[in-house]
Amino acid sequence: MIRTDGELLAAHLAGDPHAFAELADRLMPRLWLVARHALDSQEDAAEAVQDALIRAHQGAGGFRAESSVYSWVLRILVNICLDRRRRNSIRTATPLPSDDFDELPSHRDPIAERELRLDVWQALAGLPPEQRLPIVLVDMQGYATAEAAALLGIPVGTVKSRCARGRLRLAEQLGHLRTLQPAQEHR
Amino acid sequence: MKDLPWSESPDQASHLREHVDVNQDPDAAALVAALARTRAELAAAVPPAPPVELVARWHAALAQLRPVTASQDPVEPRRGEPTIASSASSGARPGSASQSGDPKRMPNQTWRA
Repeated sequence: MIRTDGELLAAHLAGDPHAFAELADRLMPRLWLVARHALDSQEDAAEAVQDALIRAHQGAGGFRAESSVYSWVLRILVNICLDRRRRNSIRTATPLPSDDFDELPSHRDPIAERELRLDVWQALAGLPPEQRLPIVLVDMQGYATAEAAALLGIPVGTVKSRCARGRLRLAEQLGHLRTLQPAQEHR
Repeated sequence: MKDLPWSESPDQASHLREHVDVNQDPDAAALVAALARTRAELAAAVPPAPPVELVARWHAALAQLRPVTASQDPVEPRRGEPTIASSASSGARPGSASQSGDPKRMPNQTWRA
């Protein structure tokens, strides 16, 4: 029987030594997606995900079930990522190579899906981080703009603006705007 | 960042639909279609798997963590507030693909992270 995230967290608190590992394995791909697009360095992203999982492991008793377990851990992760970005802002970050995601195979691998994935990931990697993260949260993980705004600590309008600018740029990079004249693309 | 004109709408495609007669403006219609296709591709994209190194490092770190139990929770739940123990079996919130058909939504919440 597959246990829900909440059941796994409860089992972890009840002393089940395997529950949190199972929960972390389940959450990690989505956390990785966010961290990868919130931070410029893959190493930073990996450390951020690990830090978030450790804090969730140790702070599990503080989860109040007012949100999903994933949203709770995501909040921890986003805070860590934002802290790291603030710290890194005085340094020169090395941008991700756009083909960095090629090295990360998916467990689903039909050719068409893979081609789609690479197109999307490469295009996404070309956006500035401040546009990538709202798009990942809203368009890829399904959060409402208000929820994404709360997570990121920015106004709703800013989330919308960043999503809008990012989508327009993605549409261009994905080739969906090729039939439009340049002057009309930015109306 | 200054808000764009469509900031009062859910997105720019909705704004265009509300303010432009896409039936009379093929370029607006093309833009709406392009944005919709972009969002559909984003939603359909399969997230890359986490790197093997991250997974291995996490499992190594997990092995070093001391067990945590509810009795060690330093914060008492507020009166009437559901606890993880009481809400777990009810699947209080979706949050993973295994929990429900809508894994992505969350309510307005207060995190205690």
